Order: sequence, then structure tokens, then C-alpha cells
Amino acid sequence: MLSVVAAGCGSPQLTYAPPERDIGNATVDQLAGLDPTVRENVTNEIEAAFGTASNPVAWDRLAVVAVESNPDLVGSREIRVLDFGVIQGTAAETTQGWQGSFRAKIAWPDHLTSRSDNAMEINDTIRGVGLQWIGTSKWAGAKVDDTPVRFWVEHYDPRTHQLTVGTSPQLPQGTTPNVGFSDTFRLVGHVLKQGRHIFLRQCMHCHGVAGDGNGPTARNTFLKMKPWPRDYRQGLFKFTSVKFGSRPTRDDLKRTIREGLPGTYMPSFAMLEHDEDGGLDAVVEYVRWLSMRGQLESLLADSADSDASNATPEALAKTAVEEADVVIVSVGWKPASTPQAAIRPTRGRWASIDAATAWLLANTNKLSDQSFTDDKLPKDVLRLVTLSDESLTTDELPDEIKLILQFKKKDFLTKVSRTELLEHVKLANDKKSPEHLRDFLKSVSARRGRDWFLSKDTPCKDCHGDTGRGDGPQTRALQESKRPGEAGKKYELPGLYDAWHRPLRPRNLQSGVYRGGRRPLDIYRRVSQGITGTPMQSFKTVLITDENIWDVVNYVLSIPTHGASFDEHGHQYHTGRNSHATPSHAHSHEHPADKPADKPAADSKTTKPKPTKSTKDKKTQP
Amino acid sequence: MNTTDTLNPSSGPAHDLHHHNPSFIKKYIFSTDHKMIGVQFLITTLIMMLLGGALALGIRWQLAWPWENMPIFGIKFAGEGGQISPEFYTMLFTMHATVMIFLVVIPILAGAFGNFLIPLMIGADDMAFPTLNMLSYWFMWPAIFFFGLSFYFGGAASGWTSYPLLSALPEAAPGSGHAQNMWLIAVTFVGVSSMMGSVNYMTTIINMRAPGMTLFRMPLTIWSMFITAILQAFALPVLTAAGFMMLFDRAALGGAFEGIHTSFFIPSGIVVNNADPTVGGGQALLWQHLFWFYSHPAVYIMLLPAMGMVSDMLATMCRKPIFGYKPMAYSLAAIAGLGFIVWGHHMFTSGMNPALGMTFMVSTIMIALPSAIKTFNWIGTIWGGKIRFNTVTLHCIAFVSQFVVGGLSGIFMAAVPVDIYIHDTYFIVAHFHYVLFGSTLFGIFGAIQFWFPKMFGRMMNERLGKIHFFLTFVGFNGTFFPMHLLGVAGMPRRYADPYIHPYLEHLMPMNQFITICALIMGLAQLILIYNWVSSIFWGPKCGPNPWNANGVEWSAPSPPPHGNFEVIPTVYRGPYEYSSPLVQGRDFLMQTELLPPPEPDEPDDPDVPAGSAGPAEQDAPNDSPEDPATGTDGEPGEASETAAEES
Amino acid sequence: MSRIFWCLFFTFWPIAAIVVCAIAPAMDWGFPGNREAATPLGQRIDDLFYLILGIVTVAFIGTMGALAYVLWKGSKNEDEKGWFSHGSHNLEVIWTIVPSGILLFIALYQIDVWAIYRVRDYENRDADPRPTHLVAEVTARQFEWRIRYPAPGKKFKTYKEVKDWLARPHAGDVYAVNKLFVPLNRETLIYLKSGDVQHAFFVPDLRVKQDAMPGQSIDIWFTVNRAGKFNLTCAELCGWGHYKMRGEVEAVEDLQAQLRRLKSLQDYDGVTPPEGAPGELEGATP
Repeated sequence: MLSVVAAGCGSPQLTYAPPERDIGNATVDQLAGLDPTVRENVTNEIEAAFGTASNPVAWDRLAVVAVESNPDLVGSREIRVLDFGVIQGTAAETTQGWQGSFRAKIAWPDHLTSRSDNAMEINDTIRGVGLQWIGTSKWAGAKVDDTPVRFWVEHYDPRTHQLTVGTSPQLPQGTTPNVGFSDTFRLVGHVLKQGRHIFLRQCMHCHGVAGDGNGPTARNTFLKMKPWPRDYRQGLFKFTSVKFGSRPTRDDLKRTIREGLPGTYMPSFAMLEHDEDGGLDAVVEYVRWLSMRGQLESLLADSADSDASNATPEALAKTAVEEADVVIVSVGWKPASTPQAAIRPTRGRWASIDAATAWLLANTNKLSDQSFTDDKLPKDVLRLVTLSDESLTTDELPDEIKLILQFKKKDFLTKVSRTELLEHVKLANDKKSPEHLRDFLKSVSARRGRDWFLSKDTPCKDCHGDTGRGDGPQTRALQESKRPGEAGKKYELPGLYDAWHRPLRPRNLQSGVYRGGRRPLDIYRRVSQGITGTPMQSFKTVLITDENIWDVVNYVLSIPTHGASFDEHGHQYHTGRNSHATPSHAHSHEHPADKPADKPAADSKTTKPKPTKSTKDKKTQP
Repeated sequence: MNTTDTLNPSSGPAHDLHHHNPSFIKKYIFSTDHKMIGVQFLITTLIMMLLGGALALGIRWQLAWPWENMPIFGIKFAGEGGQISPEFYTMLFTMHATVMIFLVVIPILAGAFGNFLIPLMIGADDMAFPTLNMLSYWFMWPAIFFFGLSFYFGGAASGWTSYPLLSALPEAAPGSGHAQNMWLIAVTFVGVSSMMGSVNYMTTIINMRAPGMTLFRMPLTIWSMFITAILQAFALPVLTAAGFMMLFDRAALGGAFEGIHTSFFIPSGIVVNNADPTVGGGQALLWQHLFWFYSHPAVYIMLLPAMGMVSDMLATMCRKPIFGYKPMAYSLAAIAGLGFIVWGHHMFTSGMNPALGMTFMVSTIMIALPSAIKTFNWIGTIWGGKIRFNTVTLHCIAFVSQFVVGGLSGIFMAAVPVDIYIHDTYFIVAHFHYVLFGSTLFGIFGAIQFWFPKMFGRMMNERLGKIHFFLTFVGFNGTFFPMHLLGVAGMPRRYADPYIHPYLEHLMPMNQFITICALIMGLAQLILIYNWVSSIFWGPKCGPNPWNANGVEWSAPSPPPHGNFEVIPTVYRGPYEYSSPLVQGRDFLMQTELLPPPEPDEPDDPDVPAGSAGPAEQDAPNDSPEDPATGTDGEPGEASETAAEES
Repeated sequence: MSRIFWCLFFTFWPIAAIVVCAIAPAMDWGFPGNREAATPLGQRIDDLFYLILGIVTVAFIGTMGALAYVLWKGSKNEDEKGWFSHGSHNLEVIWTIVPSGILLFIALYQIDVWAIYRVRDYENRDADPRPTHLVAEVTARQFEWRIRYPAPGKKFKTYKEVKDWLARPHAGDVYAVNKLFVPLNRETLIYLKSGDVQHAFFVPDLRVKQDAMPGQSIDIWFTVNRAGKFNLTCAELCGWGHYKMRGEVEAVEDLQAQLRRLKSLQDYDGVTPPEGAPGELEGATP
């Protein structure tokens, strides 16, 4: 009843949780520690690039298409890098509209046009979405005063496929864009919005609005999810096809969403595939988008985050200006209260120094020694004027500074993004796959695999235990703490920890539950590439050849069905707690077509039956 | 008999001595006066009704506009733009059911009206055990407190049925932690409270009836209360026991029970949320049997008193004797009896031995029979009456018609094969809301209006009452009738977002319509509250018998003083002698009225059809104005004795 | 005046109710997709449903009509008193006998369906489980359906083999999630388990519903006689993600072919391309 009374009250907006960082055991808001100016800048940059939580925009500052080969396939196919599932349409007869906007009739892919029954919906979906103009005409990558012209959708009429395009800055008056038929629009970020819709409905409760793995259900005080939902913002994903620690491919994410992670709270969303418009792909795009956003945010926060504890202002200022791509000079003669405060963030991409220190610098370092004041700034310092000082508003700024402001901001972003982000956020192109066939003499192979499993060179048994039950010595030992500022310390509790400093259990290989998938290829990758974010490293270095890896894979795959040990005849059998009544020949399960049932009767002759613990293996999923 | 004498307040005056103008605390808070306790129950339950309603509207909001930001509740989820979380939704419907059943319907019937009416209607000066009576109210508060704690811990979220293992394993869900413990403890307290009540009612009704108030002169309200009390007394211990078993399974109790970790309901080898595998060979099905062994009779605990009260109100408002008094009483008993052997129909799909399914199905279908008989008798009661169309009547008619729907829809799920399909769909939701809300609550609304003058000596506002009735009735049917269709379309219960399933997508508009109706219905209750509160202070004053009713309670002043009656009344006839030809000029003949001996040729009413000759003699002992000595059953001796003492 | 209004009011709404039910099929408010069940038993359940619906409708009209009538009469009863009657013994007898007859008929009439649906198989579940019909083991867990098929071509001859297969994973088993293939026009036996809490296996189009009790493995029998995909949902509250358990049952002509396809995808070792489109490789359901 009460809820009805207040039904009219204002609606809260979606908000992205700011990135957190571990300080010892505590986690703190990474942005909170920053100087307001810097924090504002960081948020501005993030919003400029990704928009707000309620209104996301596509990332259109990075390369849109790249081609790379997918070794998993016979031959190779195109994989899009860093675009968010753009929709492409060809432009035809365009006419000059009002205020620099113009209309273009374009052909969209079917799955957009087919849904023209709910025209308004489409219009709402793609209105304001950025357009990328590709083609030969002079508008491709056009600039006005060195500022690239950006296009976006002002209105879309699905019946006529009439698209009204807005531009910024306004095109010079009277210039009608002469669009050739070859020209194409790329509608950036439409898929993102679709993905976001699905994400908020299906994934957000665990993974959170910002993809920080801290959604309302996950952060619920009374249910501690084990394992914790993935935090996308480090770009670390566990079950990938790529080398340890690098970013996943689209297919990896897609596979995880579709298959789920058995034994965790991540269910399979296979049915999303049946929904129209490739909902699954859309979610993948949105997840990648969130991941990139989170990474950039943490990156900026990190770089801006400094502890200028014991250092002279001069030294700090020097390093600041030398290392900085951008120097923020806050205008107005306000000597800083403390040297620490004088230099705001340093170490990395930018520095912010107040004019007093700048003056100091001007006389001491390589910068030109001409003195400067509010209105006359030295030209050779990269300047970005922050408006933190109330004494100054944008209007009072000299024009060139405004320009500088604009340019350098862009410049700054491009620097960061091209150099750092491309490294951080682009798809890995180092997918790992075996070259050699899986060995088919599995009985032998599995035996060799067991030798590898137990050998000194491989640490398998240390975590997974001799019988693969996940009870190795490491699970009882205290581990080195990887928390920042805890170097040399140990975690409070014994057992393994993941990159997120949360307790971790080695897989019980007897349970027959494989979170990353049960295909030989999956196990191969777990062994040869490891599991990102966990102590499960890549063991390619140890078991150099594919053959060895396949041996281990065959052994691991045979444990649930055939047991972890071999008797004197070379027959595999189960030991200990959940052993099975009817061991069978190690190779009997290789060609099920030929030998359908592993005949319990026949096998029970070979070894004496062990007591059975009925359905446990299938049902208990550690 | 001795007990009777000791309990029977022939010591009326002495009684009054040690209750002379008691202190405020004693009068209004820790009162042992059944009337005050009844009113306390009424106020408490009405407040709880608002809470439960708010929770229900939360559910409806989510179903109509899933993941839109939710008013009020949404504030808790500001970061998500007011979009609630799934486990919060599960908490919503769990606590809605819990509050409505344990804190509204059961206490308002047994607690509020049972307390207020029983002594008045049987002509006693108070309950048999006044202090126990007070305790039964004050044991509600620990329950409410622990339910509150449950909210604080996130709210129990395993449904009001709390099926294990969802409820037995703390790791299974956010609401299965402390919240579940609190829930179980609270339910135990509710049980204790109702148990105290039922013991009291049974004793009172058996031992403290006024002289001449033979069993078959009792109003049907008393009959229903009596049978309800018996139901509770026999069914409740099972639930309480089950609750403790669950607490032991959860190792939830400290102190003496510290470390007790049983596994009544928990099978071995279950892994939830990557906790260690469970040990022990429990059986989750056991809980369902224990739970429903209480909770199905509980359904009738939540219905029978309303039936009784409606019978009284209908007779009064139609100015006509109840149609088939004894069949009514017998069918009440029959429902109660059968109610004990039908619990299995909640478990047709649960994997219990299907052979049981057949027996439970037959008994379940047969329980429709007494219900049908009652319905026909109500209609018969209205038949040929001189109907006063006031709020009370409207609510009673609504009761009858909604009960018909609820009963008929019940036949679908009594038939096992059909139930296979509609089990746990919205068809079920529609069904039990038609019974619990459509029937019981309309009965309660009527009863509030009907006995309000007796409670406070003032009348409630008719116009507001009618508006409230109209909005509630329309809102109710708009809300729950379409749910039958949702159920047939296969929409399962307890889905936070049914529309991710393609075959349910097209039901969204209907759900929105339902929610709008629910909002109307919810708002309408504010009118009731306003009407109720304002009438207490500003309602027109009224005499002892504003409705010209026959019941003993109407012979007491309104509101009745402490001890109810100046002198313990003597009862000369049944409660339903309306339009009796024995009296001229008025159409009611109170139970306590002593008439001059009739002229020998007592004529049958001319317009009684031939068919009713039978019933005429069947009821002869009741309506002949003889002295109480010739009550036709059980306790004529007692009646005469007590009567003798009086004279 | 107001009397008339209320009489009409109480006459109107039952009519409205009946009208709504009458137009329901047209508005697609009936059974899923307004289609009859895809299993023979389901169709019998539907018939039963409509039979009961008919009986109930008659009863509803009767009672509501009577109610409306007595209200109407009572509203304009001009006598100075109501009709002084304590009821009619004959009437009581009539309306006790007739309904009980009807109810008994309903009860007995549909026992047969229930017997076929569940009892028969339950009673001789140990004697003759007809092992050849075994299709899969479905394990419900929060919040998905994990499915395990026997190895393609594997035949069960005795119930002992079935038990043994259910007891533990076997070499060559085919695993899947959320998508269950069943044979068309063939009796199908599925063993339902629960990995954690209680769930319910509910396929509306097949009119099949069975709770998955923790610690039990319950057999479900049905025969799909219409090819196609059917929604699989969970019908027993299983936690906060209860509504997420969206699955699919697909009836196919050649089950073995599907199993072989799944198996080959499951055996994919990254080198030898399995049968099936390359597109499926990375995400394909093994």
C-alpha cells in the first residue's frame, strides 16, 4: 500500500560502482583518494568514452576492424577486434538537412529492418548512436579545424530506412555531403544497447551494473557466492583459449555464457541463443565493453593515484613534468599549503602542479625561463587548464587556451588509449591450440599421464593430490599473500588463493565436473595454458610436447570413469572414498561405438569389486 | 459438572469486586478482558494486513514491470536504479504469505473475533482462562518481533512452505541463513499463541455456555470457532515439531541444543554453493508431509470461522432463519474431519507413492461436498428473505459468490492428472486467493462492520463501507480471476521474471492489468482503515441491538461492560428465530427473550411449503418457547441445573 | 434503487467471468500456444480438464443464477416479514446426493489417467523398467538442467545395467546442458535427479511435471507425438534464480544422430574437425 502512495516518486538512476583496490584486507574506492580535479577529469574521460550507466555510448576512438586468423578453424576467418558488433549500412541519396544534419537513405541488415513492426523501439534504440563514416568521399574522416567530424543518428524511420544524421562540429554552411554509393555507415554500439538490455535482465544481479562482480545478489550479506562472480574490470577471465593472463576471445566468453560453469552459480544461458537478434553476441559485446571501461577506469585511477610522501616539490615537479604527457597548471597564484599538495597526481600520464610550483620550475628546469602569469602561459608546457579555481570560468579563458583545452584533452586520451589501452583491452591474438593429434592408445597414454601427474617436475599433485581429489599438500599450506602492501606476508588461512585474494579449491578430478568444459581441447588448454587468475599456471614449459600434454589430458579425463590408480595388470581402478564397483579396461572407453557398454560382468573378473558409493560422483560438485 | 460449577460465573457479583476500575495498563494493555484482547488482536492484525498488502503490491509491481525501478522497495537498490534483486523478490512473496497467513487471517479470525464473540455469544462473562487468553495475545509479539528480525536478516525466501533443502541448508539461498531460523522461531511462537487460544475456546464453549444454550442453540459462529479450535489443537503440534526438527537440522539452536546437527530432511552428498557435501540420510519429502498435515487443516482454520460468521450475518440481514441449521453444523464438522486426510493433494507431483495420490484425490474431491451443501444453504437462507442491502450484506453475498468460484476451481486441482499440469502455476494462486481473500477476508470485512457497534458502541459509516466494498470487490476479481487464465497458460508461481520464457511473453499485458487492479484493491483498504478509526471516535452512537439481531451478544449493552452481562442471561431458543410468527410487530425474537406460553394451536407459518414440514418438526425443540430445561441434547441436565440456580 | 444496483452488480460479474473464459482461447490465454498436448497422456489430461470445466461451468451458472434470483426476489420483498422457514429436509437430501454423485464420477473417471500416468510404472519400477526406453538422466541444479545421455548406440538390456549406469559416470557418456533431445513417437524414460535443492521438471506442452527430490532419482515416462521444441521450466521454488531455469526439450526423429553429433563435438581435440558446422566449434554444446 505504502508503495502505491509513493509510486509517483522519482526513479533512481543506474550508477557504476567506482573501481576498488585492495589495501591489505580492506578494499577502498580507488577514485575516492584522488584530488577532486583529477577525479573529475578521470570521470569525464570515462564518460566521454563510455557514457553513463543509464546511457552508454560506444567506444569509437579505437580501431574498428582488424582481421586475424583463428587457428581453431580449418582455414581462417575474420574476427572483429574492438568494435562492438557494428551494424553496417550503405548510404544513398543524401540531402542537406538543417543545422549541419543531413538525411541519408540507407540499407540495414535484415534483423534490424525485419523488426520494423516496433518502429519506435528501433528508433529509440539507435537514436544518438555514433556513426562511423567509411568510404571514399571527403567526409570519411573529415575534419573541421583539425577536429574530426563525428556523426550520430538523430532520427531513424524504419519504414523508409530514412536516417537523419547529425554532425559535430557543424559542417561548413552550404556544403552538401556528396555521398557515393560506395560509402557506408557503421552504426556503432547498437548491439551494445541490446546487450546492455539483456545484461541488466540476466547478468546484473551477480556481476553488477559495472561488471564488478558485486551485484545485489552477489554482495548479499547472507549468501557468499563461491566462487565469487567475475569482476570484468581487470580483464581477467578464467577459462579462455589464449595464453595465461591475456584477454579472452569473443568465442571464449560466448562459450562460457552458453555452457555455464558447472559447479558454480554461473548457469548456462544457452537458450538466449534462440532469442532473435543474436542476444548472446550482444551480451558478449557488452561484457567486453564493460571490461574495457573498467580497465580504463582503473588505469586512469592508478596513474593518477600517487603517494607523494617524502620528496621535495622540485624533484616531484621535475619528474612530473618530465614523465607527464600533460601538465595541468591550475591558474591563480595560490602557493600550495604543503609540497605534497603542490604536486597533485604524478607518476605517469599527467601531472597537475599549481602555478607557484610552475614558477619554481620555470626558473629551475628545462622549461623556458620566461616568467608566466594567468593570461600568458609558456608555450612549451603542455597545458590543460582545470577549472577547479572558482576565480576563473571558461569565458574568461583566452581562446587559444580553450582550444588547447579541447585539443590536449583529446590528445591526452588518444595517447592513453593507443599506447596503454590497446595493449590492455584488445583481444588476444595468441590463441593456443595443439598441433598434434590426441594420442589414441589411451591406456598407455593415460598411464604415462599419471607418471607426469605424479612426477617431481610437475606440481599437479601438490594441489590436486595423488588421486586427483583436490586435496594436495598445498591446500593445507599457508600461501604468500599477493595483496598489495602485504609483500612477504602470508594469507591468514591455509589453502590456495586466486588473483582476487579469495580462497580457492583445486578441482576434484574424480568428480567428473570440469568448469572450463570437458572436451579434450578444454582440458588441453587448462594444462597447457593454465587458468588465468589462479595458481594453475601454464605447464607447457614443463611438458614441452603436445604428446605429453595429451597424456596428462587422457589421464585426467579417465579418472572419473576408470579411477586414479593402476593395478599390476595396468588396469585403472578407483581408490579410497568414492571408488567404483566395476573398474574396466582403460582403453575400453575409447571407442564406445565399437564396445558400447563397458561390460561390468567382464570387468569384474579382472579385479575384485570395490564397495560402491552410489550416485555421488555425478552429484557432488566441489 | 463440578468443573462447570466452578467455572460457571454464577459468582457474578463477586467477580466484579476484584476488577473495579482497573489501571490503564491493566485495562488496555495487559488486559485479561476477552473484549479488549479481541480488539487488540483486531488492531494488530489490521496493521499487519497493511504490511502484507504492501509486500503483495511489491510482487505485483515486479510481475507487471519486471526490473523497472520499484517504488519504496527500490530505494534499497539505488545503485541498480531501483531494480530489485531476484532474491528480494523471493523474500517478498515468502513474507507476504507468511504475514497474511500467520499474522492476519488466523489471528483475526480466532484471535480477534473468536475472543470477542465466544463469551458474548454463549452468554459467558469472560473466557475460561482469562490470563491464558492474555498470554495468547502477547505471544503474538515475539512472533512479530522474530518475523521482523527475519526481515532484518534479508527475509526468509524459501516460500511460506519452506521446503527443504532450500530452507534446510543455510548456503542454499540468501534467505536461508539466519532469516530462516528467525522465521521458524516466529512460526513456533505463532503456534504457541494459537494453541493457547484454541485450548481456551474449547474449554469456554464446552463449560461456560449460559443456561439453556444447548449445543444446538449455539450460533454457527460458535460452532465454527469450536471446530476450528479442535482443528488447531490437533494439527498445530505437528507443525511445531517439524519446525524444531528443521531447526535441529540447521543446527540453529544455541544453549542446551548447541551443536545438535540432525538430518531429518537432509539426504547425503548434497553440495550447495560449493559447501562441503552433506552427510546423513534424511528425506526432504518428510517435511512436506509434516508441514501439510498442519497447513491443510490450517486452510480450514482460515475459512470455517468466516463461514460461521457469515451464516449469522446473512440470517440477520435477510431477516430469516438460517436454512438448514443442523446440516450447516454437520458440514462444518465434516469439512474439519475430511480436512485432516487431504494434505497429500499438495504433493501430487512430489514423487510420493502415486497410489497415495488416488486416496488423497478421492478424499479431496469429497471435501467439496460439505462445502457445496453450505453454499446451497446460504443461498437458501437468502431465499425469500427480506434483504437489507447494507455493507454487511454485500460482504456476505460477496463471500458466498467468491467461495463458489474458489470451491469450483478447487475441483480442477483435486483431480490428480489435471493437477499435474496446473500444480504450482498461477491457477493455484488464483484458487487459494479466492478462498482466503475472496471468501475469508470478505467475511471478515462484513464481520468488522457487523460487530463494530458491539465493540465500540458506535456504527461504522455506511457510505464509506459501500465504496470500500465496491472497490475491493472489483479490484479483487480483476486481480485474481485472470490468474486462472495465467495458470492455464502455464505460468509458474514465484517467477521474478516469467517473460524470459518465450511462451509466457504474451502474458505481460494481462499481468499489468492485474497489477492495476491490485493497486485499486490495495488503496481501497485505506478507506476501510479510515472508516474504522474515524468511526471509533465519531461514528453515530447506537443501542445494544442496532441490527435487531437475535444473538445473546445483542442483549448486552454496547460496548459491554466488564463481565458482559448484568445477570447471566438465560437462553430460550435458537439464534435464528427471525420473522417468527410468535411475535407481532417485529421480525426478530432474541434468544434471551422469555415469551408468554403460547396458545395451544401453534400454527405453522402459512407460506411454509409442504416440503418443509420435515424441517419444521426437526427444529421444533428449538423454536418452541419452552423453558430451557428441555434442551434436546447433551446437557439438558446441566442447563436445567444452572437455570435453577438462576431462578 | 441501490437494491436494484446491487442485484445487477452481483448478476453482472459472473456473466463477465464466463465471457472472459469464453474469449480466452481467442486471446491466446488458453494452454500454451492454444495447442493440444504433444503427448497422448497430455491430450487425455486436456480432455479431463475440459470435462471438469464443463461440469464446473454448469454448477457455476446454476449457483450464481440461483443467487441472483434469490437476491432479486429478496430485494423487492414487500411482505412485512421474511419467509419463516428453517429449511427443507428434502432439498438438503437432494443437494447432498446429486453433487456427491457428480463428484464421485469425476473422482473415478480420471483415476485411470493417473494410473497410466504414474502408478503403473511406479508399482513395477523394480520389476520392469523397460530399460530400452532409457533416454537420459537429467540433473536439476541451481539454476540449470545438466543432462547425461548414455553413449551413442548403447543398449540397456537389464534393469541392473540401468542402475549401474545411473550410479556413476561412464566412459562415452554424452553431456549436455539445458537442451534435452527425446525420440519422437517412442516411449521415453528419463531419470530425474537434483544436484542441490528441490526443483520440478515442467514441460507445459507435454503436460509433464515432476519434482526433483534431493537424494532421489525419479523416473518420468512420456511419449512425444509431435516433432518440435518445447519449453522446459522449473516449477518448484529452488532459490533466487528459480525463474532462470530455462531449458528446452526437442523431439527428434533420429535421436542417435543427435547423440553422435554431440559426442563428436564433445570429443573435439582442436585438431581433427568433428562433424557439424565449424561455427559450432567454440561454443557448441558438447
